[in-house]
Amino acid sequence: MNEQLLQQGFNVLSSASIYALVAIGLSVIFGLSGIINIAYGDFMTLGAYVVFVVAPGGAIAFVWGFAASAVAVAVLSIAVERALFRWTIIRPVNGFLVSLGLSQIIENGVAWHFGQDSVTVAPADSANWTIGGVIMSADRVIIILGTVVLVVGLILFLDRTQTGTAIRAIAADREAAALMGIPVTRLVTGVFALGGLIAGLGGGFVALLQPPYPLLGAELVLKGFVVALVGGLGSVRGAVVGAVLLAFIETVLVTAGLAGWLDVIEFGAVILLLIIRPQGLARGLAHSM
Amino acid sequence: MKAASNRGVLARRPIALFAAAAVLALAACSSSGNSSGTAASGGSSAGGSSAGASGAKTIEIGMDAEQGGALASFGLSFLQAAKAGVAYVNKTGGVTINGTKYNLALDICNDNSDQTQVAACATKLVVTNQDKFIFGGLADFGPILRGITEPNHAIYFSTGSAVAALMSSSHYVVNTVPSLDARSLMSVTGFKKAFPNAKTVALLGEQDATDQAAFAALQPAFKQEGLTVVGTQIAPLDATDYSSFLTALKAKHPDVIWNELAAAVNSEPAMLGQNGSLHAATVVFNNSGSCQASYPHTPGITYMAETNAGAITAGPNETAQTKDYEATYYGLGGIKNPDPNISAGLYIYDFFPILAQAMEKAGTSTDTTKVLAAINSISYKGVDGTISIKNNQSTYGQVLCTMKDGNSGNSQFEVFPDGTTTAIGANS
Repeated sequence: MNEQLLQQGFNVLSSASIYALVAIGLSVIFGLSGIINIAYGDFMTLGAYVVFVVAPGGAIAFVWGFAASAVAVAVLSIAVERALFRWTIIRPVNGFLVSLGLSQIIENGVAWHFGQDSVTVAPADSANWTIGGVIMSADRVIIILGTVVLVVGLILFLDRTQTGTAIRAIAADREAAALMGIPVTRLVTGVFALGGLIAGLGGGFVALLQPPYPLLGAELVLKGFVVALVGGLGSVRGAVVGAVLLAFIETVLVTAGLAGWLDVIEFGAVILLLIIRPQGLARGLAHSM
Repeated sequence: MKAASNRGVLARRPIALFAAAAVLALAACSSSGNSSGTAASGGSSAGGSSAGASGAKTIEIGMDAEQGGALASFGLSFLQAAKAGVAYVNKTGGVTINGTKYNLALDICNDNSDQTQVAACATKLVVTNQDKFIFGGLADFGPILRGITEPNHAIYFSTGSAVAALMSSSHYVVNTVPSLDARSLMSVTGFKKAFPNAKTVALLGEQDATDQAAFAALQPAFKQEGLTVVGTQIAPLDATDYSSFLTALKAKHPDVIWNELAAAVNSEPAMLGQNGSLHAATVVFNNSGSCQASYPHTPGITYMAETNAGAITAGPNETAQTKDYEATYYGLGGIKNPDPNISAGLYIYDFFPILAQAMEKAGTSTDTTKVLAAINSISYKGVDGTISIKNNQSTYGQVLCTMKDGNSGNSQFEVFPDGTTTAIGANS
């Protein structure tokens, strides 16, 4: 029984890592622009497919695939922000609608080019370690540690650097920030690039967990959105807490044999939380990260 | 500065809205739409009989195809099998009714795996085009099609369990797949023949009606073969990480995980990869899978699958008819070669010559009551072996395969409705 609980604990950490990455990307973009980018999950899908194209054989080549994924999706995010989302900043609901269309285009484009079936990315490291009865695949350890590094780096960047402070200022009051001489437009583009980078990295991690397929991102983005809401839209720390909470609830329900009620209980809890605390667990980007 | 930036933004507002509309329109174009086509010479998109370009008359067969969306990976294979079935009938002389020769032609409508489009396709094929015979409509789309074919007395050749559950209230549905109870028993019988020492089973499926029905049908089969169910996990449809489910099942120490996760939407490949690390069980039986090289090659794990067909598609037991089917299937082009879902199409391929024979026997292509009576009187030896149809329910054998340590070899064998099997292959 203890072994099962410890194993489930490890599973929670790896699931939470993926949820956190989706939520953080959604949160950061929303916090700055007010736009809910439903296509964010599809950006992660693209990241996963970049890894498939660059490093289908896994192993050490995965590092290159990972890097390529981060760069490619960051560049795509910049392009999309400049071409589409920039013109919807003053009316974020239009941005949401644009992201819906973008999501369809990406999903169908990926399916058209790669086919509807999943593609296989070999493990970065096929080792499995058993510690205290807990089986830890090397790939899941990579995902957990990589996410920790990314989150810590992001928090430090937003809290301790001048650019990070400027970003938080824009989130607090865009006009005041512009009047203070902060290059708002450039930083918004930068945040989209950052979000794209996180999506690319997240997509690479997801490719380690399961074979990528065209609708992968669509399934992840809903969970990510829930986590972002629970954690507080715009809050990185909140997204992490929300991700762990969601993964924990899911695993408890599965262990208790209530997996069939998972979505009902999960979303029911979210609705209850948002009624009691509409801002989520933490405040947004402008405040404490 | 603020006013100037506002003017600039406002000036671009129409552009933003136009761009958004263009994006949405492009998305709509890429994801919707019907297409019609024919798989044989001649033919038009009108239903019933018509004169084709070559002068031969044609009988239109409606095909509601999932050519896009979540079910496209199986939908495209089914469509290709339908094209192959039509090509086979036309190649072997077509249909002769009262001295007049007809070719078959497919009247295809793409539902893009969308419920609304399924209804639109069904209306177009049955009501507008007056097609009397309909194929397609995977999974939960079947009842939507049935809802339109039944009142219009069009014969619907269904492959889905959702429609199978409605057989008692249907007059014009032919179930091309052996009943769920029969298939479950054949699967379990075949599994037990390959693994006679197995005692305990853990069930893993998804939160949908198909899996619930499958689990219910498996219980008496397990009991009959002396297998005990020690755990059941039902995953939400949007699950991507099955590690927690596998860990929970592993605690029950099952001899086999009986997997009902859908291969069509990629949940099965994800679960198999994750089980490769966790080793929740050393044998995994995939109810809708195949023994393909794309499965994770994990030492110590044996996969077994019901290959969704009654025909052996590899190895020494493969028949000339199966080879001919494969040659036609790939020869038509437009499908990936090899197609991992080629065997799925075998659930409908044989039913095109069965339909052709039934129309000839009934002496009509428009009186569906007579054609249906003729279908139920035919015993056809096809790629799936001997197919008999009684009370609109087809019966034929089922092929299972095993793959140990990632090596599929020639391990396919067939289980027949009476519980007998062909020789079990070297890798089982």
